[in-house]
Amino acid sequence: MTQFLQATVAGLSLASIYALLALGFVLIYKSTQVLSFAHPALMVFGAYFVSYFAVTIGLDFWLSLALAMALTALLGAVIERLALRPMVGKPLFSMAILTIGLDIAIRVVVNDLIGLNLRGVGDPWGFSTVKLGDVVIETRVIAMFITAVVVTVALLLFFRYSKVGLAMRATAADQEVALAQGISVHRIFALAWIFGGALAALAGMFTSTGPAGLSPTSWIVALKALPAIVVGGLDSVHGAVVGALIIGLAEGYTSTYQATAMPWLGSNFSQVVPYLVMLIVLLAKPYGLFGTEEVERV
Amino acid sequence: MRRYTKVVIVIAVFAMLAAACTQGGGETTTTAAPTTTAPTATTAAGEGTTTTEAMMEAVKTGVGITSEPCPDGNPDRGCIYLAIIDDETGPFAATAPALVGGQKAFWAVTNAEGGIGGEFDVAIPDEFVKDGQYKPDVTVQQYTQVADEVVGLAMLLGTPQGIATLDSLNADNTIAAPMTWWSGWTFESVDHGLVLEFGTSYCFEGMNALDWAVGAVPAAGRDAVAKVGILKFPTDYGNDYAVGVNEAAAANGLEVAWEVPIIPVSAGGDPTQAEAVAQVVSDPVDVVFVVSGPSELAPIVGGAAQQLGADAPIIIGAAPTWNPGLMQTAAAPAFESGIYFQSAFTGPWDYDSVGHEKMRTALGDVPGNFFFVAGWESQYAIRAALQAAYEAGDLTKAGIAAAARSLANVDYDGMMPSRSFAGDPNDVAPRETLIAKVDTSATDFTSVAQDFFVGPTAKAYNFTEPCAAP
Repeated sequence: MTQFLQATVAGLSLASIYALLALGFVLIYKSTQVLSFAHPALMVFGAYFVSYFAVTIGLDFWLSLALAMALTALLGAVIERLALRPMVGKPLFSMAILTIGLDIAIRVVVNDLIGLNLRGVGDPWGFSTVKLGDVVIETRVIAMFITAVVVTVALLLFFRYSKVGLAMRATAADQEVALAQGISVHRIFALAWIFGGALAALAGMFTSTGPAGLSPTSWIVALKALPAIVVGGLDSVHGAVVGALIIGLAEGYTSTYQATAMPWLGSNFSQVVPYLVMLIVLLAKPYGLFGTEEVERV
Repeated sequence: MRRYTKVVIVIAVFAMLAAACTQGGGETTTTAAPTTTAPTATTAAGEGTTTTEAMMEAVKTGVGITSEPCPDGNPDRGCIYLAIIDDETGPFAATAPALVGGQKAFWAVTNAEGGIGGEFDVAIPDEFVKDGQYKPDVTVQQYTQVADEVVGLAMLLGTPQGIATLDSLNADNTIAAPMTWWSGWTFESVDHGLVLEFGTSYCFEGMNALDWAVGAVPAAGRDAVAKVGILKFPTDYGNDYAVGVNEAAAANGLEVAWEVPIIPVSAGGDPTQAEAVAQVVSDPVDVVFVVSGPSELAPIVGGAAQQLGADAPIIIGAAPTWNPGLMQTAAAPAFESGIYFQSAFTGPWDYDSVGHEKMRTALGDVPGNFFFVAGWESQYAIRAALQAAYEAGDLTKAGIAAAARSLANVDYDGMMPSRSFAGDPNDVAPRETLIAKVDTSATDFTSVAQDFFVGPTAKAYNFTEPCAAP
């Protein structure tokens, strides 16, 4: 039982990270219909500046996090204004490809900033743990989980009850109708990238806590959020969270049990599981578990 | 008159063709008047700037060498060009500045000390530093871009990348310094004698690491070593080292309880290394060998220390696993707790040797790191080959390749033991390893725990073929 609970904690830890990343993806997609492949770059950009402010300069960690989130939000706004706004009206595929280019360009710069050595982010959790019965939980995992829950609830409320949230949903549903209703579509796009950037920085900070630190390869983690949003549905906030939970827990349980239960699958099978789950879900629900099905006139 | 005109035209055409051939990189013979040289090809070139009458004969040169000075070079000397194929956009992109920095600094010092025979400087212009992306096909493409411009490669990064480039190197007689420690580079049947590797291979490093642990672990008050485990990248790096550990385990009558591959984080592997940590926790061993990169090492050492506390095993990392930045991560207390050691082919940044001192002075205020050291050290054999070829009066690619194949006693200024390239691999392969410990007072947070030694397993090992496939 302890092993099962420990595996659940490991899965929830992964799910929290994937959820924070997936929410950023969904936020941008929900408002702009663009799947942003620049998210990994925004993530490491944010994490680098947390490290820079907190470790290199020595500012308070929370202030550093706030500054890094603000900077990454600003970068998101710049990306939207300079790269994506001129593309409005162009095929969404082209815009998605453009974000791949932006991702590579930004990561090259950030990797140069990160340099040769791993970097810490000066977080207050370190390797400290709490014990619930026989289950050992890292405090940073608790912080990640609480943050993911708070952000999810805040976003759900934001989309449901705030004017801007409603405007974002309207823009995502039909940009021309939204314009006709007096909604500034450009402003909505910019806000989506600003929020997406800030969330990416938050996720980047968490991925760089613990022993892993921040390195030029940290961005790879962001790709794991893709199966989560595909499973949950590209335009669904709660879908992103459910998708992240499914993927995280599946990975956690597989890494704990597969080696003894199904050794014939080989080592590291847990790394394949997210994509396997994604394929299975796509076969049954092509728009994900909570995604909006497209209705096309034929 | 018309007849003379035709003759003049024919002569002019031949002259132009000849000139074109000279600039286009064909092997040509030029005469030079060497006035200075090192005492021998097998000692540091910088030591030899004395005039030698015997060297006053012509030196044959070819592609990659000009009589014009190097960019920003000594105006009285010609220039020998080298290229680098590094990784600027792949998984080892972060290492490129340090590796290339170490290599360029080495040649800057060599040039300042007299260059090659006092007659040539050596240059690696930025346009000859190519991004191989850590991909074999791209590496080969990048090599072909510079093949006719340089005499050799100051760096060829990665074992599969090097293997893929071998045919081209062989066709051109191009020498290269590999940035990999695969045991196969020692065999001329593999590398045609063109790859001038440096340092002890992963395989012997693995043997020595376990031989050292057998004595050092009980000496530190722990139980005698009976079982060991291996966490390794499933590549030539991981496999070569693992063969060494298995050899030493067999020689010492120990059990290798498990040998588990781990996926690099850069290839999408788990940044928490949960499976690897679970392996260490669920099937306890006395020593764990980690053959990975720093991103994988930190969660393994941190996780093992966190979950096992005082029962955590001794963990020994292969040379490329260490990164001073590890001490910035949450795993730092685990590293400082004394459970981690590092096997290496060279002394750490602060190591006391002539070469280390030169390197530190040349590089100045850089963040001391294994990769600067490796970049610097990788050039000694290239310099020795150029020096030997110069002294033999043949600096064509063929001449340099011939010199490379017969190099003996290449001196590394004490950074690591000297070695030869000519002879049976079983006789000339370096077998020495150094063990480092975590030391927070050191520049790169490591200092010597055990200076260079050859363990009994490595000493007795009959080295007749590469330990693992590339």
